[in-house]
Amino acid sequence: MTALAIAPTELTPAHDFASAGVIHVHRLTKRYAVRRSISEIVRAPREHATAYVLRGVTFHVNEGEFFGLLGPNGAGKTTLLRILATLILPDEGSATVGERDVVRDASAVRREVALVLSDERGLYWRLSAYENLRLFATLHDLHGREMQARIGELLSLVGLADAGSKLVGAFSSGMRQRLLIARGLLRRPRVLLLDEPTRSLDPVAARDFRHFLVEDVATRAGCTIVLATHSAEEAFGLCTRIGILDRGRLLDHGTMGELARHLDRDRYRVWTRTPGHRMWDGLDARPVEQLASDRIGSADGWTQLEVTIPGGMAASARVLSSLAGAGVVVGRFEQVPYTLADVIESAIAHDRRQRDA
Amino acid sequence: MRKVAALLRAGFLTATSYRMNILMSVSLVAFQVVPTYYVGRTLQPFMAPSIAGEGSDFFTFLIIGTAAYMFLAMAVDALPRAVSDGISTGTLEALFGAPVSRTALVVGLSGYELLWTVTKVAVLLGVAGLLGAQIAWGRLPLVAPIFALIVLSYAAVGLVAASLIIAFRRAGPLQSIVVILSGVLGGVTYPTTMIPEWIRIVSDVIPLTYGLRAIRRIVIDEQPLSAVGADVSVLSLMAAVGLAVGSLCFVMSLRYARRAGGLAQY
Repeated sequence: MTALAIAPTELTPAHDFASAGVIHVHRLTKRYAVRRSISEIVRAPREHATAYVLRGVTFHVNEGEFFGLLGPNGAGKTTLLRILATLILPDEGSATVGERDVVRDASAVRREVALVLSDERGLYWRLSAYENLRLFATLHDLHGREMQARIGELLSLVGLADAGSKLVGAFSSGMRQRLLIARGLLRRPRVLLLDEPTRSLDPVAARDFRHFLVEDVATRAGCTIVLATHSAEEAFGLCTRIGILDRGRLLDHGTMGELARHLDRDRYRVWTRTPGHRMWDGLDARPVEQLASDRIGSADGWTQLEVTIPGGMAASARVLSSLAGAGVVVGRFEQVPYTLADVIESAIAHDRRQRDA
Repeated sequence: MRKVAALLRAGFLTATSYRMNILMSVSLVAFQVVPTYYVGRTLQPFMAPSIAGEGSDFFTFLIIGTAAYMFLAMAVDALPRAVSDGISTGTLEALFGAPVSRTALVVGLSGYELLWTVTKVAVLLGVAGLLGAQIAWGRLPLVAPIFALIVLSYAAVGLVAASLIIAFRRAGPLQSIVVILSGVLGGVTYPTTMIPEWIRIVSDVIPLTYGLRAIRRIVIDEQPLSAVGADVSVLSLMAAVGLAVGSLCFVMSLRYARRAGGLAQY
């Protein structure tokens, strides 16, 4: 398998990017001073310890694209989104949104970008949902009938049409999250930056919201979306490309299929009624710890095994044929699905191997 | 202007959602006139010679001092409190993420408190009028710009305090020191001429000293506007310099907070 994880300094420079890219991030670095104890300051007053939050991050996002940011907690995802929203200044490197620099052209960038954080703070809890939207609509130069119509439309879209006159302080976490999303969409931003937007939503509301993002925001409005998420459904189902951040470094980026290339894809899951058959011995078969939902099948006499079959689909087809020929009863046969954690872990592990080498 | 009005509206709706607080606040202002009246009447014989040149009625002298003090306390406190609340609730980051000028934000965030103070001062003067305060009511519009200059002078302190909060989360004792010093040495309850010589130098650098003297001369002593030209000039200069310094601090603190990533940290 080809090693494709790229060290930050080796990434393609910004000027090579297609001009269609709406977001260009080039060698972006952000570090913070590490807070020192009084005794440390007394001992070494001139020393300054810094911690990197972002280190040479380079990528671009195309117009209308759904770009995901994955990574463990503290990887730098939120800091990156805040820099793109002009709320934090980078120390080195550059970032542009719609060809406008987030440092030099901050006010112009603010007209193009909306940031929705997972934090429920940021709303006026003593105001109604409608008044919250009205305030920010005015700040974003919407007024009159256009403003009224837009607020009504968004409250309906996020399912808060009946709660528009209620104080936000009386809202549930999910309702506040939906209101934050509505606020972000007020002026139809060119780029929508979302930080774990469905974290506080119930599964049905989260699914509806994802549908809304795809249908209304991305497809119909043509909005470019950058989404920091820990949700497999969002990463696998929504994002056209994904970047994996770890400790401030962009380890890899590409489609989910490209990112999964470092994963061991030779493992298959088999449901059989003859788990003791000698044919399994050559396939490194191991019983699978069953999920509660699988135990019903198990009660019918089916056993799950995980087997290793190198050689891709052709090899697995040959093995399946041999099993059938040997009288092994196979009820289901499928590749072991990879999880988001697998993808992140494999990218991190691959990067470490590369750096060690 | 629309954006400032929207922020004012949000401030108004937030404040009026605490109805009991509004009621108690207005009642307190009205109620505080009563003890002021009795103190003024009691001390009238002793204070009359000292306040000559700024009126002859000590009760009215105290009421005008209280009104100016309310404006200065608001000017020092309104913006830092709005910024501090905004950081705690996370709304400040949202506001800075919107395409709004810094000036509009500053005015919009503290504007409601200004209007509320105008209302409270109107109540104060109204109740004082009922109790016989000798205010030249027709001359009140003439002193409105002087009240505005007092507000601007102290808004500079508010800007510096807000800057400290944005950069370091706390403003320390800055606001308290300014409000207390101005109250004690700015001529709120007695004329600055009564202050001992050695400490009067502090009084001379307090904007309230000039503003209050000018206001009293116009609305109590009914002196011509030309009599307060020097005081108003000094006050204007203090307001201009203060605002320039305050604005610079505010801009620098925002830059610092954006660099340190602290706009939403509390």
